[in-house]
Amino acid sequence: MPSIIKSNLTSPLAKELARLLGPDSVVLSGPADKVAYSYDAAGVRALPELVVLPADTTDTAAVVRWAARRGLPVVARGAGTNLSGGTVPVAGGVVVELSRLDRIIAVDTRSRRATVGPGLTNLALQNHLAPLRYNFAPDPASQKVSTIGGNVGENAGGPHCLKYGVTVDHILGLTAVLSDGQIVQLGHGDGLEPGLNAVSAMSGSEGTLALFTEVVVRLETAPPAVQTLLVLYDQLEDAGRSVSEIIARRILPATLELMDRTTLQSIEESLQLGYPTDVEGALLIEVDGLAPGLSRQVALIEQICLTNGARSVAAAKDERERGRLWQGRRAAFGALARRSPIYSVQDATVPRNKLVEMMRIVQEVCAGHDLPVAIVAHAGDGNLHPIILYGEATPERLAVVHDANQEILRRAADMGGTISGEHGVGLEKLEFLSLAVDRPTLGLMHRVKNAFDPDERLNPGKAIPAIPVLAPAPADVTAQTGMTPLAAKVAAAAAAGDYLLPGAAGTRSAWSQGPRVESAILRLAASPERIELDTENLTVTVSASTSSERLREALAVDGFWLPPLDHGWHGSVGGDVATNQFAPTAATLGPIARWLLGARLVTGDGLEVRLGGQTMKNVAGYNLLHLLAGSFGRLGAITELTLRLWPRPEADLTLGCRLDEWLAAGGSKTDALGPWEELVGLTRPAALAAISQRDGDAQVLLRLAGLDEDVAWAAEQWHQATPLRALSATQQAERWGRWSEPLVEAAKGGCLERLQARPARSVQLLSYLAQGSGAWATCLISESAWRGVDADGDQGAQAEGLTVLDYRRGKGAGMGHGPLDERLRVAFDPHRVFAGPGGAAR
Amino acid sequence: MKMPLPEQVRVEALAELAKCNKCGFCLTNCPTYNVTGVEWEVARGRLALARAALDGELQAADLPDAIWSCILCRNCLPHCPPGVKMDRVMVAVRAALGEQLGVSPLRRAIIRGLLPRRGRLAAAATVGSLGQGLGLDRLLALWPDRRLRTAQRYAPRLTSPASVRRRIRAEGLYEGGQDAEVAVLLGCATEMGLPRVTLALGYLLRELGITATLLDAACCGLPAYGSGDLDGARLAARGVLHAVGGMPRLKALITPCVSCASYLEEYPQLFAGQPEAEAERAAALAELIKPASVFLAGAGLVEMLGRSEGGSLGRHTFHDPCHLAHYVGGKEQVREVLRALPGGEYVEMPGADSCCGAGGSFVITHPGHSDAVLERKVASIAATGAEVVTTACPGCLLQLKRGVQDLPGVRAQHLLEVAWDALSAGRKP
Repeated sequence: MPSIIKSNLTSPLAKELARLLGPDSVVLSGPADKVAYSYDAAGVRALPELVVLPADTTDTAAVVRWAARRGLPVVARGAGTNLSGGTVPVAGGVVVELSRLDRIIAVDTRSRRATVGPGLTNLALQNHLAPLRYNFAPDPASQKVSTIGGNVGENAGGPHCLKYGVTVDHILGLTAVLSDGQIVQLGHGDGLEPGLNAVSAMSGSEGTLALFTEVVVRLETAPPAVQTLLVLYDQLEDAGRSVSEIIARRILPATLELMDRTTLQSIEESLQLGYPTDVEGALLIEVDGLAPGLSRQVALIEQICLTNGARSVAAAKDERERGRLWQGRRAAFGALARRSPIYSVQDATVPRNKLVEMMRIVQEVCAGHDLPVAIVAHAGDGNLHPIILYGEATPERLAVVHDANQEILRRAADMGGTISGEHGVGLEKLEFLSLAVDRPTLGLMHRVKNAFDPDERLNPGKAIPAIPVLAPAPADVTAQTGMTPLAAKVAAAAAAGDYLLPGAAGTRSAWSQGPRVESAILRLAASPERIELDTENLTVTVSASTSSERLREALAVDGFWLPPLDHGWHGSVGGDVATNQFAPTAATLGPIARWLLGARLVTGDGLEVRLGGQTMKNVAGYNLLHLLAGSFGRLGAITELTLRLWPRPEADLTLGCRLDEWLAAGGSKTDALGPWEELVGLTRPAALAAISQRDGDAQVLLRLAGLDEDVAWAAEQWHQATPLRALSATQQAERWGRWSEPLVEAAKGGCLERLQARPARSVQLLSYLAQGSGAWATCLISESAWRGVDADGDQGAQAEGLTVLDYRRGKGAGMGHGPLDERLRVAFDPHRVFAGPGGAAR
Repeated sequence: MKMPLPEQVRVEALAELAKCNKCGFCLTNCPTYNVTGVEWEVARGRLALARAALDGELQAADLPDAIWSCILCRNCLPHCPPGVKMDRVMVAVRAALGEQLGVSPLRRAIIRGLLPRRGRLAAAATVGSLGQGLGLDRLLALWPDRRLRTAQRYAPRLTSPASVRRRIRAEGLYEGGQDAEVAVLLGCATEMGLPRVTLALGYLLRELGITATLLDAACCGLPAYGSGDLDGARLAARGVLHAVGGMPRLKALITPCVSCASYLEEYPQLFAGQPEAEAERAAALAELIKPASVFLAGAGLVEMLGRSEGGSLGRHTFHDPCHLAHYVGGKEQVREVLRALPGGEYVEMPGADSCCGAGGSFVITHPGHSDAVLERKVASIAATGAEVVTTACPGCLLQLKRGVQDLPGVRAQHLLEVAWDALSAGRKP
């Protein structure tokens, strides 16, 4: 925006900086300016040296470059609504306020992406997308004021995480300014960009690794129908049991918000909505999906809640009533603030089935410290917000609150939870980080920080504690006490200057490392397969070498589903993650990265680290977990994975037809999805693909998974609109089984190509695929494909409008190289143990 | 050195200030934050500066324009969880600044010397209208100071109040005399430059069989209050109290300006701590206040409009003055009138209750902000496709009039004008 506010240059530093910037950027250095930017919503204060409001990426980079020359800290800031002190300039320096970079730059619903400025508020983005029938899934309660850039920096959550994931799952790209002022474009396109998924490491980095000046977000289709209920309970435990049973009965609500008695009393005082004030808790439940099945879900939920002791259930009959039900929940925060403006909000997260137990602990701890507390919880993902209404910010009172918070976080961690689900570690929880992250992992995180910001100028004093950098274990140490055999083996390889290639069956190793060096493969198959299913928490923990097919079957037997395993290839789960295995459901239900909650890894110098954990939301420390997806064994040896699950769908139907029939009916010369984009949004298929065997007819397959009546209704819509017809179970299995045929061909001596068309160019992609003779498979929604190519076939042919990633035997460069990869790899693998002979220095 | 707050406003301002927990939800729809993106242009920032000044962390002289660029619109209040009333704190700080740093003589002259004095106001209007007739105002616009240019574009076509009075007498309006039960305070803007509104209100009252009198008072005191000049506010308010004192049978004091209405309701606070008789009269008066549109809605206007035919209003929309939406209230009653207007299709504007940027003297003291806020309001109006935008505050009306100059075919009018036009159109043979 053109500037009404003029710069206020009262110091030589400010004047020097202003000379470097364009006329639309504002530099402020007066005493009042410093006061205004000395705080955020956490209440802690510290004065900066000066404040800059840059107008664009160029000026943002110029500021950072200048600050680097001057040795000044840089603190990025959106709207300053951070709840953990993450935007407070505790070390002085330059506050870079990015809220003016608030444009919606581009929206492309066909490719389900939009590019926006970091200063755009979350709600402004939602409001823009809603008429287009799309949304941006993360919708934190602060959405009216919090910015997209801030959401990325904190890996924000919100009430919809159980079903739709957190911010990192919905960021496709970033324009990042690094600590030396360098501008890099990061994009991983769900594995279609070369290199590591560096974008994911930026998410949740709390301004300590880079600044963002542009964000590419993933768009989600808006749910066709929504239903909301408010359930009142005399006992919190009844609410907890209801939640468990709802999920056990295969309903996946979009929202499950639990409010305790203190919260309800405050809401009633403010709004007089007629809530009884003697209930222990109220559960706001929202289910979304296709209309036909929604009423059955609502009826089932009502029945479950009443059976579990609910006092009453009220379902909204129309949009107005729905608004009223939400009004109470949305007013909770305000009502509590009216009661006691001075409060402390916590953010502990535990496995979902332990939520009510944790609430009791919070109540007990606060009672013990004589602190009034109200609790609002995202019951769907185990994230609670105890709001301690401590009344007066005196040093004594603050000390008591600190002790209570420490106790609460310790107990959450003991329960397998984490210290922060969405508000970030910031300043406030720094001292507690070791409760959730062990020393080796903290060491790895610090190495990553060191790789990006060796002078510790980007938001110093936040996110991770300034422990001494855990120097890489010296290469000549062979084995240390307490190391597992695997870690010892890695350490030995480092000492000997050997290369290692992690792998179980090693069926996909050839792509990344060239000819198999038998002795080099660090076989994880030696460790037994292990599947630990947590049916209450809807998670599974497996050893990395577990066969994905065996896991898929085990889950199915117990009534669970992990969509990214439905690819038909016989390898390990670790291999699926490491190669970011392309599955038919990737575009709709997310690639495997979206389903990852935790992992154990041995780094290149034998550190045994634990990334993530067991909870749906976890922002304690850097998000290094998603880096593993598509890392091709370069970052370390994955030993264990924790993944989240969905209940197995009631009905699972595939419709099919020949591709030529589909195209003939489609009517578009460029886009195979033709006129059916809207139908995809209305019916939310699990997958829509075209598959061709070598020298065979190409087939279109549409998979519908969900409630019986939803699938039946959706099938009918597609039946009427297209040539698609229902397939028998045998035909389904056979045709979906061809999805991974390209891999089979590659394994037999050919190569694998991964392709991505630009938006609405899928017909072009299909004709390109048809030119070759190898098997291929493509997702018609994401216009993403793979195919088998002969070893001496055309050398990575470039085609207009297509991006081709070439996993070619012998080159090992199939995954290419992104701008930040070297830094990340060095942090994980300082001795280049996993670099491989084909992929040494970059 | 700590900045002390004047006694009368101290307690309440400190209480409001203490409520702020820095959550930042005030950023949602603050007009000045929307157009600047700077932290001290939003409630949270302004409160932080106020706190810093009170604690001595900032000197009064270091306070930026932020304290003066708050429009006092309360667009932040609906979003503020603890419900901080920014206007209380800002006025208190302005009062403190006035005491510490002094007040501009010109401002004081206008606020204390001109606005409350009906005779002087009339003279100014007469002279001004002559000047406008000769085109002298356009000379003002040539002055390099943007404030004068904006003032020239914002100001209405002034009329000599004497000529309006002649017209009123000729039409037999406002003939209630001192025994009337209903009095009308026109307010400075209506009196000086919106005669059609004066007449429309008069006609409507007569149609509804209500006998009313024009109150012999000029200024409600809001301009003085907004500047932090409480003594000046009381000076103006005493004029109102005095005039009301001469009307023993008064049951309602109505005004076509919701800003005046909202401030009249605050007289009890203004006179708290003053001699008891005054405080009592202020309290009694506050009970009688209603915005004209709201009063008429409750007095049968809605039904009367419903029975009427004719009128070719077309698609129309409404801008909620901040003082209607966030101070005195009455949004629903106003919409009853709007929906009843014959020959019209009412369309709700997105952000109807977002500030238009007029803000009393704000339009002249902060033309850059005012223009930028107005631009957003004009975009909202355009989005409705309406040909007419109505409102219930002369200050807003003048701002909207200059704003819709950028929208061909769109005009801005007071709700009362439009209501009377609709009724009288239905009467034409």
